[in-house]
Amino acid sequence: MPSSSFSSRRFLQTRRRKKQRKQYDEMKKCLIFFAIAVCALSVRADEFAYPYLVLEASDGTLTSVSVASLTLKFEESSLVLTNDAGSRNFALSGLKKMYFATKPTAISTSKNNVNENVEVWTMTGLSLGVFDSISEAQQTLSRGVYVVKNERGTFKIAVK
Amino acid sequence: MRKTLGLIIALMLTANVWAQTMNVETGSVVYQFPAAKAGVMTYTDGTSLTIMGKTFTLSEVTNVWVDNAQVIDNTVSVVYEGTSARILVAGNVAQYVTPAVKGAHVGIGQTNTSDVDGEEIIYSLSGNTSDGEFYLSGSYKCTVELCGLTLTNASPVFSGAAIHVQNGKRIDISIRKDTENTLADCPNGTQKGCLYVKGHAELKGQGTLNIKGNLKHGIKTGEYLTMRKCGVNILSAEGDGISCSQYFLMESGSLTFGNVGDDAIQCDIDNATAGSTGQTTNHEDEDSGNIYIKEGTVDATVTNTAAKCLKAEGNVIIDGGTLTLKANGDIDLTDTSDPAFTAGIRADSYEQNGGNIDIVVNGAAGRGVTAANSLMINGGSLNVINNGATKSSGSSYFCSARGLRASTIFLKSGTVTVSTSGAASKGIKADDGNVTVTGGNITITTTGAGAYDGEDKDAKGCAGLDADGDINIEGGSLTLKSSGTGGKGMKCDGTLTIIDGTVNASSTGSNYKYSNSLSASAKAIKAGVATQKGSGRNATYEYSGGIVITGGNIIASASNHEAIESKSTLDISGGYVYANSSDDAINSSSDFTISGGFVMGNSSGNDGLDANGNFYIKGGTVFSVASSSPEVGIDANTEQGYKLYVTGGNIVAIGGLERGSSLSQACYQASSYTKGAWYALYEGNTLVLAFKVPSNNRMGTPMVVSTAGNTTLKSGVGVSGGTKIWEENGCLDCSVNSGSSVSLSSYIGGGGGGWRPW
Repeated sequence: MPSSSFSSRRFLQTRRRKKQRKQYDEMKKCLIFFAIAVCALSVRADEFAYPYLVLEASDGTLTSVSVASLTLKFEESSLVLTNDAGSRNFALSGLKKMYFATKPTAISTSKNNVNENVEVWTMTGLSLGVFDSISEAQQTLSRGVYVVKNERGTFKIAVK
Repeated sequence: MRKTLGLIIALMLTANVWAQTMNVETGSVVYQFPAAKAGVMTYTDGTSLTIMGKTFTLSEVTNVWVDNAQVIDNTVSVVYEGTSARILVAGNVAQYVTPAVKGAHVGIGQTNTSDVDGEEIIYSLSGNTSDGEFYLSGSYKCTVELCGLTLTNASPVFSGAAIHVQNGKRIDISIRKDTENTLADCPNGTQKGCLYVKGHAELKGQGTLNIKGNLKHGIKTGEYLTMRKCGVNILSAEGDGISCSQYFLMESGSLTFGNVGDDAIQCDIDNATAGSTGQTTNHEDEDSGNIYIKEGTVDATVTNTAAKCLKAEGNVIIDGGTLTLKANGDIDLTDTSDPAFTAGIRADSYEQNGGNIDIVVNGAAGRGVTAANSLMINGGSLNVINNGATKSSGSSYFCSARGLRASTIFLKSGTVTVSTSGAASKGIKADDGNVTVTGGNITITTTGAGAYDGEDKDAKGCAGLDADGDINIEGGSLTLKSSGTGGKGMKCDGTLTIIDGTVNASSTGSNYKYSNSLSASAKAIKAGVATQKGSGRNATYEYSGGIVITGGNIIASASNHEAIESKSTLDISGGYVYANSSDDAINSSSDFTISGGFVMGNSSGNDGLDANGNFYIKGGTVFSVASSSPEVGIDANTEQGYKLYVTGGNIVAIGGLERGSSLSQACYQASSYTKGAWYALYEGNTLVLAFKVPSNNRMGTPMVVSTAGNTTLKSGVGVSGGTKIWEENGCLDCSVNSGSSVSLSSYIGGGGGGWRPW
């Protein structure tokens, strides 16, 4: 019947429009989500365009610290770095330079080994003992990243 | 969807402006190093740290932190906070500035000798303190930006100035838009100004700067000073409101001056030894001492003795703007041989090409505009009201007011209105030089009485337009009114030459008599000098100057003395001249010659036209009306052996001609005439003049007429059309109807003639 056919067509058209509308809304939601995500990443990227401050000691030792809430205090002969992770001291006499970095490049690539005792910890905080020098520790330890501490300060080293 | 995408883009852009900054604090100073530019920061010996070329002694560093503060390169911000000041130094200029701070007293040494990252350093000042200052030294251009600053220097540390820039280069003083800034210096310092710049300063911005100069000048610059857009209010100054050298240029903005101790604006030549460079192209290396006003408004009042609103060692050049100036200072008689006067404007030369200037002078013997050399009006309007009184003391000094005064004066265009009220004051006066008028509308009114000048030992009256030299009128319109005793509309010692333009001069005052031998007569126009040699019957005269009229339209009236008087010769060869007086309408101390033009002398109490020498009528059209006998229409000094010579011209002389005249051209007389009636004078069949007989109380007879041809006369004619001349007592090229012929008889000269040789 013509009338029945007409009703059916209208029903199908309405349904199609609803479906298109739903797809459009979903796409819009996706775009908004995407936008927020991009913005968040963008903000984060900008906020932390240089998320690290790298300190290089006279012996070439590099130490990187997060700049989040970072303050530096020069007290007598030492530099006290304080950030969200806590405070760390550096002997001023051993500091050569510092710079902002986009990556934690402060993982130790010690070039000038010094012959002095260092205490070594794993990244999880387990103490591995005291070595005569950094080079001795590097020769002894297995591959990985460790935290070492000597008179010049606390820093990371990588054993390859 | 588009809106959504727009929002996304906006958010992303917003996010991108965040950046990290390492802040290094030393006392009140924070150096801000953007992480992206900080580069390698070097420690030396554990005692110092160098960042972007700036070396810090670690023991002096009070704090270092990293945050997201945005750093604007090249900027040093100084924020005054009551008894302290906080200074933020952008990292890229940190190595070039060395701040020193004591409380809110900030001193900064700047060491760069070229742009930093392509720009100059900007010192941005804001905040409020009742005891602070900003002192800056350096040798390279920079900008001092005022961003809402209230700064009073109560106890100087670096300088007594509120802002002191010890830098010989160009210093921009930028007054940020919509900010109000107020500076006050210390009354006990040694500074030259509340705002002092050693070099050249450029005031700009769209904010407001208020200045209180408590020791000397409000603003002082060692070199030039320019101003654009901003508003500067000199609220007070012990010395000048603004003092500068080289030149002062106002391009726009507003300037107000109140309670200034000396001049409102003073500009000097910097290198007095080398002298003025004059105006240079684009003011390059200019040391002219000039003041230029291009646009903007200036509102200044000065009250100190001999103070000027605008004072330039060079020239003052006004191209536009609106200036309202009040000069209320008294006269400075410290040196009575060289007194100094208050003035609206004082310059070496003055030039006005536009703008609207109103000057009111209330100081004794003050000047509206005074220029040592020339004064030139090319456009705009200049309105001077000078109420300054006359100051005199015996034979030591005599000083009266001047509306405009210069050595040489040119009035070329524009509107000039001057009024003076002091005794023997002058509306416009050219000392030692000439006045030339080629255009414009000039109105001068003097109301002061005559006075005795003990210095010159002479009686003097006011004068509207006065020149020690010549007056040349080549165009324009002059309206000159003088109402005081001895007052004159126009006067010169040299030659008055009129070739075009309109002059309407009137003098309604009576004679100013100081003694039997010293008096000043009130006349509309007077020119030339007659110097008497000897006395009594043996007296002779030497003449100089005089009056020459070749064109123009001159109307002169005097209530009590000659309307037009030449103290030397008087020559009229063109133009339209109408003179009306109770004394001689027109008088010449020496020869009087009419060879052209249209001349009417209407006297209600003396001769119509009078020459104390010979009188020559060679041409032109002459209408003379005399009082009753012994006065005559046209008089020559027969008593001294001179004579009237008539060789041409169209002549109507009521009261007849001088006796013994030489009449080469036939003259005729009518035995009677009717007052108030129109007559028509014909040469043959040609109407040469329609004239109306005045209705003076006393009028002489006969009425003599003459033309170059067959002379006939009609009375009681009707006149229409044509061009009315002589205050509507004559008509040219008109249509004449009706009337009746007047019976004329031959005339060989009258029996009258003044008995006085003047």
